[in-house]
Amino acid sequence: MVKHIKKSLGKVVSGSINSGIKVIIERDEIIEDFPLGAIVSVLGKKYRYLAMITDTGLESQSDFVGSMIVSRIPVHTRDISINSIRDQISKRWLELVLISQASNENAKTADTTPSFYSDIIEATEDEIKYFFGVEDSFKKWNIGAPKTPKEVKVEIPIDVEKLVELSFGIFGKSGTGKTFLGNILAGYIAVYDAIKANKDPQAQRIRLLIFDMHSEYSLELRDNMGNPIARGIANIFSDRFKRYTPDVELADKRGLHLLKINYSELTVDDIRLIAPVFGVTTTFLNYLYDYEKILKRKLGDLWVWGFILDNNVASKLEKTEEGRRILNEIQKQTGKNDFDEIRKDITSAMKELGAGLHSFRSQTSKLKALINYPFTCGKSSIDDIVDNLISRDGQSIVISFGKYEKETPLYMIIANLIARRLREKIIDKSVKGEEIETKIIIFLEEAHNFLGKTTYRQSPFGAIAREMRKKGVMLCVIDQKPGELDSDVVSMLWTNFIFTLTDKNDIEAALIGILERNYLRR
Amino acid sequence: MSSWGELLSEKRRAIGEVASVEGGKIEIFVYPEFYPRVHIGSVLIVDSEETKPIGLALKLAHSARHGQMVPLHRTRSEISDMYPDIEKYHRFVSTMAYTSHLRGDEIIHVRSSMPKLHDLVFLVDSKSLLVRFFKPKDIWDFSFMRYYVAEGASYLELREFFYHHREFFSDFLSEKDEIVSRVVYALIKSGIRDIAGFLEDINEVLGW
Repeated sequence: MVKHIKKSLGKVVSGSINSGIKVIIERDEIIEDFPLGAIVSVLGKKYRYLAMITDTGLESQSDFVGSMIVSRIPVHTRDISINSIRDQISKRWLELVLISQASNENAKTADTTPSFYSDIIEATEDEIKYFFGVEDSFKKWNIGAPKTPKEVKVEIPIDVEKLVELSFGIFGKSGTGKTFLGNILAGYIAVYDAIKANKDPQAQRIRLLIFDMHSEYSLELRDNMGNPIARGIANIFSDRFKRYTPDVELADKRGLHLLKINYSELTVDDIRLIAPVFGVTTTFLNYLYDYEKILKRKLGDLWVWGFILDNNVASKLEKTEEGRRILNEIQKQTGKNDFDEIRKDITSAMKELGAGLHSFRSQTSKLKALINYPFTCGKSSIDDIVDNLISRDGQSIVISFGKYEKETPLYMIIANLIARRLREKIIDKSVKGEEIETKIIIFLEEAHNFLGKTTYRQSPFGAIAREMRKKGVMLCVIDQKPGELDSDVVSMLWTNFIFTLTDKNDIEAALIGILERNYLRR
Repeated sequence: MSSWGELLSEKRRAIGEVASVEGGKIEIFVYPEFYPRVHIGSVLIVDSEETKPIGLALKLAHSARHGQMVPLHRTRSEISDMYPDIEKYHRFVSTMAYTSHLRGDEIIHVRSSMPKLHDLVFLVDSKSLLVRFFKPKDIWDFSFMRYYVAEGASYLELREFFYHHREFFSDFLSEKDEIVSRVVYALIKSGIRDIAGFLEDINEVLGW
């Protein structure tokens, strides 16, 4: 039990677990010393509590003060007068939400209310350590210092072993530090895994799959002005992370593996997820299965190219070796050399679709950005990535998007391909009764693209979130708009790291599943 | 007059004597020759055997001692010439609100034992003794006002109290802030809510 010699900052006067605990501040304390979110201790009769300040305020006899202000008393005399009786005419209060309660050696979620007139004291270093534990450089790693009224600087640790048991989330507006925290957590998980493997080589390993939109995991973390401030986690632990990028130039310059994708691996569901980003109409989406049938009939595995193929596209494809290989394959498949003619053939076949033909003609040009991505008609990188993730001898994976950082469709294509293959391989292993050698944590930035209200049911990440927990695949959902995530997804997250959010829906979503959410909204 | 002992040592300085005691009010029979020197708000001390009750004059009354007053239709000087001992037949009374006491040489703004009838009463009007009354322990202390208000002093009595002592307070202009803050504190403890109106009065009578 921690000894308490701290001065009382205030007294509990009313409240409840559900409505918050009200405290009146001692007269010699200054209300400005009590910031929202600060941690304090409450000394009950049987338990001591850790609590967070969720509101602070003042009450005064405003009629009295008002009549002083409008009186003919000289300002100086008035100020002196009001100051002399400020404690008699005003009171300062705090509202607290109870975080935890402890008696002897057991700390648990608070389920009792502290007694009337209990003392509020500053959360000392020992207090905070008692409730949160101490860094042990294995499972528990420091993650930051809580706010306290008098700014006691005590780092509190996160228990990595518990964190990775289930999916977790990192939410906050742009620029609040989500990626910075993501790097820290990824680092702790990697180190925990390495130490654990050292202690027990047969233990299940942990692999991270990080979708690194802005190359801040694989290269450098940057401040809001774009200046590098620290090396990314995969850059520091380059032996533990295999870094991929679809950006050829970045791969050459920084020694990353080039990530290639084969459009033949895309399914109609992938196209359904990706196509809206290009701005295609609902009619087009409604005909996708019909288009797929016709295109597969004409182009076989290369069916996706059928959406955009014509002589213009062909002339662009001619410029690269992969492009020429694709054109050759298509020519072999169709027996035709003229790509406008092939396009004509396809559209003729589409006539049977009625309105679908019109939609095909008007919408497919929107998909032409596909030729700008690092495609191949040979072996893609997807299998290599997935094999690394599921093998005890493999490495964690970071996919850095380099110059494609704003190309949401490419991100979605890569993410969907990996997620589907990963799911297939793990289910296959499971069905065969093979050992699941790794636990996989997928760091998914801009997660609403895959786990949004409209995409969750179609995206392979949705399936992973729903079905793969027991097979050892967890998500680290990172997003600045949690309100756009499907509520099922948010309710599956057991630990949330929440930075500043201002939108009401985002705040609501980020707090799903948290008991005291009414008070944390502030 | 610089000490309490000196003030109380000469019975000829007594301005009256205790006529009755009821709760926190002490009625004083004021000797006629001292009647003009006693004002609302005057500080009075009773020379009792042990602790010495101190308070503030709350009311002044003047009536005929026996029967009804008979109209004379004379000027004051004509009356004095015609009836030099007329005031022996008058009754001069002051009601003192019991607010404080003197124990040894220390003023405490709390009531203590009650005086007995005929205990002599003295007027505290020397600056040095008033300082000891208003600044016991060398700190301005107006907590005696709580008893004064409780015994019936209204805004007007308080206004007169400050008016009566205006010259005394004018000597402490440099301590004005401290005086104001202590007075306001005492008033709020007395249950007075219209502090603003009251402060306007103080400023007016003290010319602050």
